[in-house]
Amino acid sequence: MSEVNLFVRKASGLVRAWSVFDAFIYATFSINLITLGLFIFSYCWYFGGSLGTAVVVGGVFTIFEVIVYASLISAMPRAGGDYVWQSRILGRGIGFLLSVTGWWFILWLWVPLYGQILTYEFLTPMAALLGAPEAALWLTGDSWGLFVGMLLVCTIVFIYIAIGMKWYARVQKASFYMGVLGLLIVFGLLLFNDKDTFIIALNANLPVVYGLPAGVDYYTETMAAGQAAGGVVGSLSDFSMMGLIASIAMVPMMTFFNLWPNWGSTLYGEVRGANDYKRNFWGMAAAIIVTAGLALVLFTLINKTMGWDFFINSNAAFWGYAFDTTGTVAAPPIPVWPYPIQFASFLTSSRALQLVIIFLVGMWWFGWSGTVFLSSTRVIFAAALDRMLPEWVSKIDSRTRTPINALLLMVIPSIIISILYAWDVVSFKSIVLDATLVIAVTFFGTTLAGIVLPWKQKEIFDGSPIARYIMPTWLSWLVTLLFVAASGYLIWLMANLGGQVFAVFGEQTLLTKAIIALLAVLSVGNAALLVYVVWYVGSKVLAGAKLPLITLAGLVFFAFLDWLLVVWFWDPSFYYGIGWQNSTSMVFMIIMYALAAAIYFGFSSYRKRQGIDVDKVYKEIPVE
Amino acid sequence: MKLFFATDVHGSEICWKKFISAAKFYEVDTLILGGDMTGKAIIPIIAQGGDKYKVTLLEQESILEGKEAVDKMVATIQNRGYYPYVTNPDEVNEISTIPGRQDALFFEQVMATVARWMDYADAKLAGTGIRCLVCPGNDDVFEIDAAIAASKSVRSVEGQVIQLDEHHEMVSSGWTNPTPWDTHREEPEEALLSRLEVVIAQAKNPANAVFNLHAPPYGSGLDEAPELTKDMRPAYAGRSLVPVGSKSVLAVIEKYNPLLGLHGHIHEGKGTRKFKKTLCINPGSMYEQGVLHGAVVELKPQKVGNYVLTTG
Repeated sequence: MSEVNLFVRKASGLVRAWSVFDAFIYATFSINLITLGLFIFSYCWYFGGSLGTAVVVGGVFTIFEVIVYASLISAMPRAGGDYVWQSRILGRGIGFLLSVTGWWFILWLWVPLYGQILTYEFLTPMAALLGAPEAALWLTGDSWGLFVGMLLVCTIVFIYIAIGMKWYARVQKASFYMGVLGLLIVFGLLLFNDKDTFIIALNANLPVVYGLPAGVDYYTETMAAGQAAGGVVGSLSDFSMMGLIASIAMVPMMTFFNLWPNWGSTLYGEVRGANDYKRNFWGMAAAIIVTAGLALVLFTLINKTMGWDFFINSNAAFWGYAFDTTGTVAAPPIPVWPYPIQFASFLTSSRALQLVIIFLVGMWWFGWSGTVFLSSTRVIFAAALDRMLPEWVSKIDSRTRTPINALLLMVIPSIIISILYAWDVVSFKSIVLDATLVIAVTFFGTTLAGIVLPWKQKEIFDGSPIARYIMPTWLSWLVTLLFVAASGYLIWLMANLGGQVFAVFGEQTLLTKAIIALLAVLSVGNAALLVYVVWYVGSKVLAGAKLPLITLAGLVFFAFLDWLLVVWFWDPSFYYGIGWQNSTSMVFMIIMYALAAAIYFGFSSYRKRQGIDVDKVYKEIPVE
Repeated sequence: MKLFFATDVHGSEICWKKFISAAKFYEVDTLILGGDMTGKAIIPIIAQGGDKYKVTLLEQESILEGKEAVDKMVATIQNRGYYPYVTNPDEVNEISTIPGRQDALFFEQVMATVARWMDYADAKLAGTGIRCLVCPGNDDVFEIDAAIAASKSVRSVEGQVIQLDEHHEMVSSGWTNPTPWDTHREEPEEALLSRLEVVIAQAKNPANAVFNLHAPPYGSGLDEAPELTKDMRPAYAGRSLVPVGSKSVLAVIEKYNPLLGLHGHIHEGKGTRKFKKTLCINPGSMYEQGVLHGAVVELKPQKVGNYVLTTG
């Protein structure tokens, strides 16, 4: 008989471990190969390189994110996530600024993106298959059509919130099984057919389904249109130096889909230890690994049956035209978003099966879409509890039991942003990656909190299950030295890229000059932050400390996030389109952070006048 | 008047100390603990011969050498809300195998801890004028009421109506609706409603009172906990949240519309909810991390003044 090392009495809240597989399902939905993945892959038409390599490299760094988050969850469970971790470890102001922007304001931009993906992957193909090709083309090609998709997002998510988490969890799980079944059918169709069959099927189905002219070789014309639009076809197996550089350049795009395995994972049992930590880790890590694996399988099958050049060029033709500001890019021969799933469905002649495939794979969207407001409403509630928002924002409607005002704080700005996006006012469609950048900044703060947790919250760390994960001295030194090198590189990179931009400073408009100046200030701040982290961790290692796993993983992920921010903002090749050259993007983000700061300072001051000392909200009570 | 409310410290030594220290920190005159003071687990620190001891905390086995290491581990275990118990392999075997031995040990640890906490409170609160009111919850054995009553500075208020100030009374009960764990102070909703009505009947003006009821109102959002499967696992990886609060508590809140409802029980249910004029608060609990969740509330003669939830 093994020795007993714990006696537990009959007490409420003591439960057995949850299913890792269930946790994996929800993390997989958060990353979502079909919605986020396919959407952002379609943007990668001008890089060359290997999309597969980019997915794998991005996935490897995301594993370190998983370690940081799984560690924070086990050290401070039920705390409320990034907001409380940052507020407690880094300070209330930082926690508020980063969480309100990353978990609330930026979700306003996600609504049009969710709507666009719904329109492209579900509404358009379904309308076409149901015999309404004009409606299908209107949905994708007309701003009103896109806007309808965005309004549907608000409606569907409202329904999810009204039915509550109990039923939404069930919807998600059912959607997962249906979505996976749909994807397996697609894999089968791609596996058991060849390129010639695909070309014939594509050319035969497009006229019938979308009412396009018959007798046109859409495959060849799309290839030509993509090339004319500037599509750069890389190879999935390009491991040359140039290929790797191009692949690495795509990694910041990949974060649009793979940065989110941590979305909503805060579960941790009472009187539990390392076992729950591992469950959290594997739930999220398995999602990264399996999704990357599925992406590689999908790429391989697309390459085999559709042709990688067709995949890239179809995207180039579509987006090249959509973003053309010169009027020189011709309209794409296929006037809808090149949805690989629908293209694959053309490999069956059964219209019913095509419908089933679009419906089943569409479940990846329906199972995922509720996430857009759930996190936001939580942050709004948390801010209201801290008295940083008026009390009415957390009102629950007694009839529908929905947080009606919090939802309105999401829906109304989202509709405004959706209008700007659908009609591409001031090039709003160009700021897609802002949706990732702002949340990455929030994760940046949380990662910093994770790095310093073992020392800043020593009692919590020492009494937590992660205290056991201490790295050996040699690894502590190795990672610290690598971080020092990475910090040096990042400072050099900022100086180098900034130097290139300042070389053309005089040619810029006043607004752009102001943006460049702001970025320069932020870069100096970032350099100081990197130096601080080097000093903070370096001094511990020099004093003989072995780094805890959370710190070690945090250093790797922190450097990765820092690199993302540097290349997104300075972006000399205009790869990502949201940096200094894009004043819409920069002004949009500045407004968000300024709004958060205004709320923070405004309410702090207001509450102090009311006699509420909000500075004490997250301060530890000193024990005499 | 200004009060600080916390709940569900579940044996965490540091949380109790923070609770007692909260009066000075938040500048309040009344401390209220909503229930569930007692811990849920005993961690044996097992002698291995010589000056060595083995302990497994959070599935991490450690070998401790010497009294200083043992004392440090004892403090760590206490701060997480567990009861450390220095013992030997034979006794561990006895506790594991002899019926009733484990319950007796728990009882002994619970009572010793409550007595120590009362001593601490008496030492810190004596002469300060700060009131400390405690209402045991469903997880607390009945015997701790007497241990609390023995304190000079802490008052047990279970089943009582007390006068908070000249304007406000407080109605208290730590009893809850049934849980899957069949705990000490739980009963069917009908019986709970009768119990609450009996207590409330003692109040002169329930509409201007504070209802300190451990269970949160059903469906208030303050009572959302992970749905459990039949074998007591969180269903859907804990994503599915279901209301588990008390319909009786909801009924009395809706019937009497007190000024303030103070609740706990559901550690994940941190939040506030308004039922007409009644502000209901569940500050939640992070006792295992030694973090004291609470609420600072100002009571004005006819209404709730300022309030804020804290993470102390």
